[in-house]
Amino acid sequence: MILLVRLILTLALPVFLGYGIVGLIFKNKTKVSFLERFALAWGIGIGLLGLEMFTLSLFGVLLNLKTVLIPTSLITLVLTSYLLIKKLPIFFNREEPRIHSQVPSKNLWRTTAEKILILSIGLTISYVFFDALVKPIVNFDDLWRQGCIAKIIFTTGKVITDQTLELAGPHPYLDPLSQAWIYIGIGGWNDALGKVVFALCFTGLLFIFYSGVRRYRSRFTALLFTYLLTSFPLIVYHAGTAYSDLMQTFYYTAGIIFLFHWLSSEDRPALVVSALFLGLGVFVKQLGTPLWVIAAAVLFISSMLEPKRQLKPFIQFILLSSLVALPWLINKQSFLLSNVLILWNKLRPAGISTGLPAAINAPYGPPTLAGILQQLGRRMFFYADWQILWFVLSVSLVLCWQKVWRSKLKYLVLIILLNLLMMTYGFTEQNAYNFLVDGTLVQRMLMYQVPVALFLAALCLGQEKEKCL
Amino acid sequence: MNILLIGLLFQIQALARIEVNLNITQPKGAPYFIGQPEINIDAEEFSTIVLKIKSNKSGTARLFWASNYDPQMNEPKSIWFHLDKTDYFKSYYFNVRSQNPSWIGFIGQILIFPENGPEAIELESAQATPGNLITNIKSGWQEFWGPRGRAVIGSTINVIPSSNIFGTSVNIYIYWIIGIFFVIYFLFRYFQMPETKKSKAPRIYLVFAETAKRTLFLSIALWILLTLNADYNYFNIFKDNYSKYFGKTIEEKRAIAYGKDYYDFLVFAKEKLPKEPIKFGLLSSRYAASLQARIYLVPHILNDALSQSSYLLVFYPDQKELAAEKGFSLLAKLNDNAYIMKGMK
Repeated sequence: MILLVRLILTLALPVFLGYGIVGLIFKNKTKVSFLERFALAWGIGIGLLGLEMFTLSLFGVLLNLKTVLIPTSLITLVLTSYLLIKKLPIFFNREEPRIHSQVPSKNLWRTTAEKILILSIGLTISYVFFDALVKPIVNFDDLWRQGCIAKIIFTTGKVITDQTLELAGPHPYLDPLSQAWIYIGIGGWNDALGKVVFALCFTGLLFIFYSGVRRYRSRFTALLFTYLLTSFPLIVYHAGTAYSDLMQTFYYTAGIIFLFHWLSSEDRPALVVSALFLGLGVFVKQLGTPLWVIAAAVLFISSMLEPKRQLKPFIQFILLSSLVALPWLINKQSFLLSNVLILWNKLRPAGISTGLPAAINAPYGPPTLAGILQQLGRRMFFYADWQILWFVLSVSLVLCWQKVWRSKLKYLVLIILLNLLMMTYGFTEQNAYNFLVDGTLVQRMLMYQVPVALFLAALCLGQEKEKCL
Repeated sequence: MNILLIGLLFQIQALARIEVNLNITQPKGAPYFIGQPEINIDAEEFSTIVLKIKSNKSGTARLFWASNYDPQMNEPKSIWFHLDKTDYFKSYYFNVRSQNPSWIGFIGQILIFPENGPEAIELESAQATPGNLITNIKSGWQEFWGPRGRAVIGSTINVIPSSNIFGTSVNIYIYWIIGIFFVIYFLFRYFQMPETKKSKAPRIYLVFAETAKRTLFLSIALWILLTLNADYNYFNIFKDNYSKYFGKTIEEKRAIAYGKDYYDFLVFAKEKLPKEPIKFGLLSSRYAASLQARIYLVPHILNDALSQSSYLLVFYPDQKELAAEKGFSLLAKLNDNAYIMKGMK
């Protein structure tokens, strides 16, 4: 029982920090629901707390309860005081959109269906919390990388050590840092409780997805597609592990959904939230950087294509997200810097590859475009991971192409296409191609864009807000 | 309909006539059941295996076979299935040819390997038959509810396959249902819908739009069925984890996850190793032993290069690995198969 209280208090710190930031971003504008506000508070709070711990550690501060709690509490206190003085909402706003239907439905079938959907989604969330908290970490990377680094940070108080450098390689640290914070908060290494981070990311993902669809479509549509989001077994499974992929999916999805809100409404807080989430995503996985670049590229393209738009929002987005990602971007292990160095080495005359030919390391033969597309297609359409999402999305896009082309939905299509293109390009490299054929990597890469693809399908197919079919 | 029934009857009669009884026994001390003596059946003719098994615990098992093309028992030539806990001899049907393309040539031997151990498992009979409609349906049904895509294994972290029916992903059947529905509905409505003078759009366009809408409804409905199927899998995983971990302390949970004997050894090693961080090596034939030792013994550092390690943890080592003990002397011993050695340099 004491452990549970400690855990709740440990979680309260990043959530309060997040609420403070969210309150500051949205001020008294009534744009976020209660659920969405909680999910954003969690994502921003744990992300910024992780960055703060990383930065403190870079300055040689040993991480422990005092060194993390004091500065974070101070920041939270200042933010909360400001919001209270200005009478700005912190946890909820009376004028926030209600999560239940604004038009009372007389349709018994529909209200019953909605109740069943809420129950089913609630059961899956309960299952995910149970699955995450009931067992210690058991999977390969959990034990070997993220979990081990988290324990090293907790035990030594340092993020960068010889051992963590060896274990992390080019991977960022938000996942182990967030687990380490739980250990620090509860005062012991409890790898089962450390995974609460991922169950909360899963819950946050569902809340942001639901609220995102709900802005444009009926309550039934939002619930139905949120339920379908719980149908992807790989996402649900990852929510019970300490892998970084679910966390990356959470940050990326929230970033893209809010980017879409910005494109649709030009609501400035949406752009800020998008920049924050995509910037924090850079600190979760290596692939966070190219995902962020794709989002920025689409924002730039929209700035060029849309008649009223200027470059200012794009610059603001880049500056804010870069600022958030800065502690990692300037780190010599980061994806961006290491790739710049690789490119530099390639361009130098002496830097021509001296390694063994790729074919020696090629159990599946050299990659060809046809081979890559065939494997990718197989993984997208014939496995349980994504059910029949890609088929339904493809059909929806064919049938609703006019609607997509005339609306901002085309930018979501562009984001998904650029992602697929990036993956295809990535798999032209022999080692990555091996991972595609043996299935090690591809489904986890697809995971990041699956909620976005489902979001697009929901907006294509869903009934208009508070109207019946 | 009558023709179908008569055909079915003939097939059942054929089954009664053409079948090969396989004598499958458990060699003393072996964790499997194997066909004795060797058979020599034509895989083309005998596509189906029927096993009658009674088991007092549920779990997964594998059916292996050896063929003239590949006489080894190996995973590519195997079928993974669920063993149910029953107090009677339950029939398990395998249309092997449809589930695994390696059922070819002449089959010399079959082997059944219960993954949770062969204890309290009885095999009453085993038959190879040409199969018929009923055995095919039973085999497909059993395959759909089998462990593929449902049981959590190491690779689940990377990919979750869909359940199969006759060796084909259930998604493909769904695509076929959707496609056939689209064509039939379109044709039906096209010939049923009268030409309207009020609408400017051509009839074919109206029919297409309506058919597309209905097809998408059907797709979502089928997707919901797949979601319910996923929910059923979550429920089973929940049941497993509940009985395995719920209500236990974190130490007890780790002991379950790592294996009690190995966890006890790690606790012993933590106690015996110096308090300040050291580099240690590990010799063990157990899967994942190094992963668990690495995290459990932090801040000590697991070193893959044994020559650079000041301590060596030995736990059920491979006989070949024992040579690496040279240069180390015994520090502390938990038992004959679990001990700690210290570098002599």
